[in-house]
Amino acid sequence: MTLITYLTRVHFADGVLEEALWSELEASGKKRPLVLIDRQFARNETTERLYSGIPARTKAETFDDIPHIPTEQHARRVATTYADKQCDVLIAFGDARTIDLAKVARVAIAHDTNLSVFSYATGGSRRIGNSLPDLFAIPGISGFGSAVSAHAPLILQDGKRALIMCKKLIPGVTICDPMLTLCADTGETASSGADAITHCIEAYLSKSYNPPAEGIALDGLNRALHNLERALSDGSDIAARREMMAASLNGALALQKGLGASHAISSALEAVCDFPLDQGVLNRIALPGVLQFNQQVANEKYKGLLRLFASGKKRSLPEEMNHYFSKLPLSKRLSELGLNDVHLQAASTVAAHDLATDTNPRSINAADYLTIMRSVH
Amino acid sequence: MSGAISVHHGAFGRAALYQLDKPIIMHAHREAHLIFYVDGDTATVRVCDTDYPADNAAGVAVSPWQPHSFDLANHPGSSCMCLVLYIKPIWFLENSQSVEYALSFGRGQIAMTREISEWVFRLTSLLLQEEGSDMFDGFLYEMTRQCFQQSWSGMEQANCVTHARTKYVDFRVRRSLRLMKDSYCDDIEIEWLARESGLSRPHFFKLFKKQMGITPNLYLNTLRAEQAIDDLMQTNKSVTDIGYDLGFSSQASFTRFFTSNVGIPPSDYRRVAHVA
Repeated sequence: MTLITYLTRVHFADGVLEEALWSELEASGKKRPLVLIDRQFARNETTERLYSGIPARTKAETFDDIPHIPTEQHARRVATTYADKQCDVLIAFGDARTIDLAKVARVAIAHDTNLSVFSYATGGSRRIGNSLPDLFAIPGISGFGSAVSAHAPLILQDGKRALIMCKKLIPGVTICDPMLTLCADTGETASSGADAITHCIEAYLSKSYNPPAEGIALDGLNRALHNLERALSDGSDIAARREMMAASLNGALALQKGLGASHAISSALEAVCDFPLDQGVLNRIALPGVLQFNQQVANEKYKGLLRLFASGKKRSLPEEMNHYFSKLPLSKRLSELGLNDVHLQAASTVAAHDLATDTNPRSINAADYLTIMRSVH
Repeated sequence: MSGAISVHHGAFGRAALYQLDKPIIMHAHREAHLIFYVDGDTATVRVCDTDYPADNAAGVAVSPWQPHSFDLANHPGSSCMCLVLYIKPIWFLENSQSVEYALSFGRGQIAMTREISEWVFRLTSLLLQEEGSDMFDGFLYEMTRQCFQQSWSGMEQANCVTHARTKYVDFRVRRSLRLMKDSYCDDIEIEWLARESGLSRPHFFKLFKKQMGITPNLYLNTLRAEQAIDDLMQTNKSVTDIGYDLGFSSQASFTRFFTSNVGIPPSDYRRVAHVA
């Protein structure tokens, strides 16, 4: 992978949500946005902020039935609402589930055919046309990977999982407002922090050649390592919140370089479970073991990463990571999440076929995945 | 009669050179506002409850949504030429290097330093030119930046963020903003707004004023004035139709409303204003 692409227009500032949304809608001349937002957030204060950013004489419609993973049925329902209400732009507000659904819905709005034909695995990316509706993404404490990336997971009509991937899917505008994270609890804060750290480390270590992404990843990791504890001890510390949002954004921008085995494990476990799992928590559990596994091939890069921890202790990177993560209020073992060995075995096969497996610095197979997961079960 | 010598709309917001001989009533807008005396009688700008002079020694800075009014300092019959800038916060943010959003000024008074006086002179000259100038936005940004810095000089800048954080926190106020935005062309009763927001009328009034800094009526006036300006600039609708569409019963009542809120009559505004 040597194609380096940075396309997203990002607004990033404290309290910028209303003005940025207002000015983007005004500038684009869009008058009927369809807002995708999970119904559990539909009436809270943050959501009222979103609607305050809709300009006068602009009528927003709402779609609030957000599945845990986007499904073809849900994307079709979004497309129907979009057509029925004569909408002209999508706004996705919240986490990755919502933004991913909006990305899949863009394809469903532009194409009547079954979404299986757009699956990345069957060469469907080139079938995605140029008439996708605009999408503005507004991540909260999480969702950055979706907000600036070109792919989205999908469960097809027949229940099979697929990935759609095409640079046309990258949201045209992303609005990052650190004040949206002030109300996040410690669990959400720690999880999004662990997610950002994992994205930064895995993108930096991935095999692909993308120097800008490596720089972005290192900067993001540095911000996260030195601000996560502050954000956890005082959730109203806006400077710490801002740095953590910057780390999340950096991690998301860097992941175009590719990720590694931790991401493959967390995605695979999510895929084989019939109950929702938290990606940040899964990454927190998987990353130290994966770093241990990769150590022999990535030792030089590990030295650079270790310097960022600045702990003054003689620890290896896996030990340092484990020590850092152990202070977070997150589960430490997969068994605590309700996962059993059957889940692990199924996930090991799925992980071996994940795209992130190809970019992991050390060649890794299903048996290796199973060993890593069992070590943290 | 008050009139506009020049009005210039651009990505930054709008800039106007006004000749004012009548007061402008208490109003507010979403843009940040800078007012500078250019010639004639001096003026007084009341921002919230404080009077600030606009003269050779000082200009006035008004943060977004701060209520303010304008009056001449001296005798009836005199007039004041002033440079009035309405700056979109998002434009300022996109051009600045700060991530601590909010184009809120620290102090209302801007001392007319030699540099700021020169910027006022340059911007006034550009507004008086027949042709638009590519330099306008750059000049405006630099002057706004200097005014912003001066207004916070010696004050705790963190107040900016604190201010933004405590702004509009109550979801009921936000809901009322949404309701007003959806129906400002209708005859909205505050009683109805309060009820829809889940509050009694007095509580709603108090909470709205506390959080927005202005009354609900003033907010509605702002929405109507903004829409009127948009329609004047972007449509061919007659002034009468614009007034009717905004819920006014006659052109006279719309003209009265527009003049007292914007400073000049709507037909005058349309005649002199141009878009970059």
